[in-house]
Amino acid sequence: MILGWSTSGELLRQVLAIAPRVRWVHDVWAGMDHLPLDALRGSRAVLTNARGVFSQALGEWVLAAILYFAKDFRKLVKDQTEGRWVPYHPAAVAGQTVGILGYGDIGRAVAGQARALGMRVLGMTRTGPLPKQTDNLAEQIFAPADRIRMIEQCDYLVIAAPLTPETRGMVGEAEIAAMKPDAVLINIGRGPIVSEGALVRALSAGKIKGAALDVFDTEPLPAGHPFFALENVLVSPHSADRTAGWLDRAVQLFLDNLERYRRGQPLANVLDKDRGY
Amino acid sequence: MERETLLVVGRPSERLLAKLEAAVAPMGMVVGESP
Repeated sequence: MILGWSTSGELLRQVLAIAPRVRWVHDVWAGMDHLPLDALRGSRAVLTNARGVFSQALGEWVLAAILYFAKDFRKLVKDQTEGRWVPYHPAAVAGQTVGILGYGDIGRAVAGQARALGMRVLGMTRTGPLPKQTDNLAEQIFAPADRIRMIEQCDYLVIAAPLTPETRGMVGEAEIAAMKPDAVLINIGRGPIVSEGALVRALSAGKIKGAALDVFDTEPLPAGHPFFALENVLVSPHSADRTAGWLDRAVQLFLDNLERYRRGQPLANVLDKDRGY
Repeated sequence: MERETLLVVGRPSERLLAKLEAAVAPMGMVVGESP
C-alpha cells in the first residue's frame, strides 16, 4: 500500500509505474487535483484521502473571513496603527446569505459555522438538490447550471469545491457580475475555479466589496500580484487548514483506515477515480 | 505469508514517520520511503 504525502503527482506516478501489485493508495491531503488520476485509473488500487480532516478548520477560517469584512477589521487595525479614533458602523451578519459553491464535507462545515451566526445558507453541488434528510443546514441546494440564481442572492459567496474539469473556471465574468456590489467572495477551494483576471478587474473597479483568498492560480502568489496591493483583498498563503495537529489528524485518519483494511472492512473516504473526488 | 509494505511517497516529518512506523510494526508491516 502507498501513503501519499507529496503534493506533486509526478513522484506518485513514477512509483505506481513500478508497483503494479499495490492494492491501496491513501493520500494525506483533501484535494485530488495534484494526483496522477490517469495513472491511478490504470491501477487496481483503491484510492482514499483525508476528506473531513481539514473541514472544521476551513469552516472556521471562512467564519473569520466573513467577520473580517463585516466588522472591517482592516480599518480598525489601520486606525489603531495610526493612533486614530474614528467611530464607524460594522455590518451585521445575522440574516445575511452565504452561498457555498461546492456543498460537500467542507461546504457543510462552512454551513454549520454560518448557521451558528444566524445566517441563511444556500449551496451548490454537482448533483443539485439533495434529499431533505441529508442536510438541515442549507435552505436550498442548486445544480451547477443554476449557480447564477444562487450567486445573485449571496452576501458572501464561498468557493469550497474540488478542482475538476467541471469546476475549473466555474466562477468567471458572468458569475462575478451577478454578485451584489456589497458581496464578498471567499475561496478555500482551488484558485483556478475562479477566473483570477475577472476577479482582479471586479475588485479593482469596486464592483464587489472584497475577497478573502486562501488559494490561487499560482502558489506562492507571485511578487507584485495585484491581490497583494488591493485593500479589499485578504490574502492567505494556503494555510487556512493548518491548525495545530493538522497532520497528526491526517495520520490518525490513515491509521484508522489501516485498521479497517486489516480487518477486511470497507475503507472510509474512498474516492471516485473517474470523477476526480 | 507475504509481508506487506507501506510505502510512504513524499516527506513526512521524522516525528510523523516514527509514529507511522510504531503503529504498523505490531501489524508485521514494514515502512518504506520513496527517494
